Amino acid sequence: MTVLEWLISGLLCAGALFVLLGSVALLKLPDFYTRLHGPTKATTLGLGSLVLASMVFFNLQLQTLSLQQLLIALFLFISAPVTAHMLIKVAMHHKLKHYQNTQGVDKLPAD
Amino acid sequence: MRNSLFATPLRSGLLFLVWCALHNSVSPVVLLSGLLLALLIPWVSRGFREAQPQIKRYGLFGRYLLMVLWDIVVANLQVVKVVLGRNSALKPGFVLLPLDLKEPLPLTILAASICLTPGTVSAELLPRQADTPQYLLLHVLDLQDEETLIRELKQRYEAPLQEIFACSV
Amino acid sequence: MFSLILLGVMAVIILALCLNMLSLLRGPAVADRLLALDTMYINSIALLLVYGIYASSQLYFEAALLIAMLGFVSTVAVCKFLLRGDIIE
Repeated sequence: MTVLEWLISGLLCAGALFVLLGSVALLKLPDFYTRLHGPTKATTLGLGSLVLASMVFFNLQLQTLSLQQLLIALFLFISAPVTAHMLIKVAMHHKLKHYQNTQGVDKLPAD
Repeated sequence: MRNSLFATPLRSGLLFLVWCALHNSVSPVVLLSGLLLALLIPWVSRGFREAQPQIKRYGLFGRYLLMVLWDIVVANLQVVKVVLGRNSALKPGFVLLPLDLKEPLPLTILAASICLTPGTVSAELLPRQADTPQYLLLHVLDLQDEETLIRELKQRYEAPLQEIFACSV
Repeated sequence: MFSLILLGVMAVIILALCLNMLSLLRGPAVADRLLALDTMYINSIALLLVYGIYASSQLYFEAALLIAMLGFVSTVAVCKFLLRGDIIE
């Protein structure tokens, strides 16, 4: 394996681990509000890492111009916060249960 | 000036780059059609937008983006720690972040960077009327010290944004 | 060796997809299921990206781009529906 392949493999492994971490967080954490943190952060970073690996592979290893992955990453980094914001709004609207340790519940709006 | 084809150079440039990336090539046909579309689309849709504050300091904005990218990596290591720890040790919480920014575009960027970075998700802008002092309701994954967190967020994200958009402080 | 690593990475992502399926089935609230579905969208994009490298083909990235856009729009539409009981007001 060349140096470039090692670099790509490292990026791919990091990305896959972060994606897996997001899913584990989704399954393990106790309430909706904490579960939301897994997919918005870990999965987005994992995908960013995979995109970087794919950019390196196509542009440097195969020497072909490939920019579409950049668009995927750009779009996801813009849309992930919006999705999270909408989902937490839904959760507050439906008054989902908090985990017992949650602090500052009194700061939630009455409606 | 507002109605000319070249009124929004940043938006046109971005559209042009996205068009080239979408086609995966820089052949003359793609470049020409991209140039045409990049000039025409902002011109056609000029009436749809509200006036937003302009970015005044591009260098600082670039540095801000790099800082946010770095913070995303750091925040994820923190999330790893929290997720692999025990659930009963978890201390989530809601925090109100007092805001100095008022305009929609800087506020959106602030909410998005807070969402992607340090263990927080922005939930709601309170109260909804713009003329009263506004707060951003955040959910924090691991709340240790509220005061420190608020000070850090204001100093790390809000202050540079105020400088970038040259808002009144 | 390199293709073995690629296969391993794909296996990990598929494992993540299975975990998402579990949390999709578990719920308990509609918002939880929606979050799991949104994560499945993103994970399938990841799977397509890695498969694109494995097959050395750029064809799959357009599909990934489409999934990204449709996933975002549909999640926001369902959120809107849950918030107001109506998509277009």
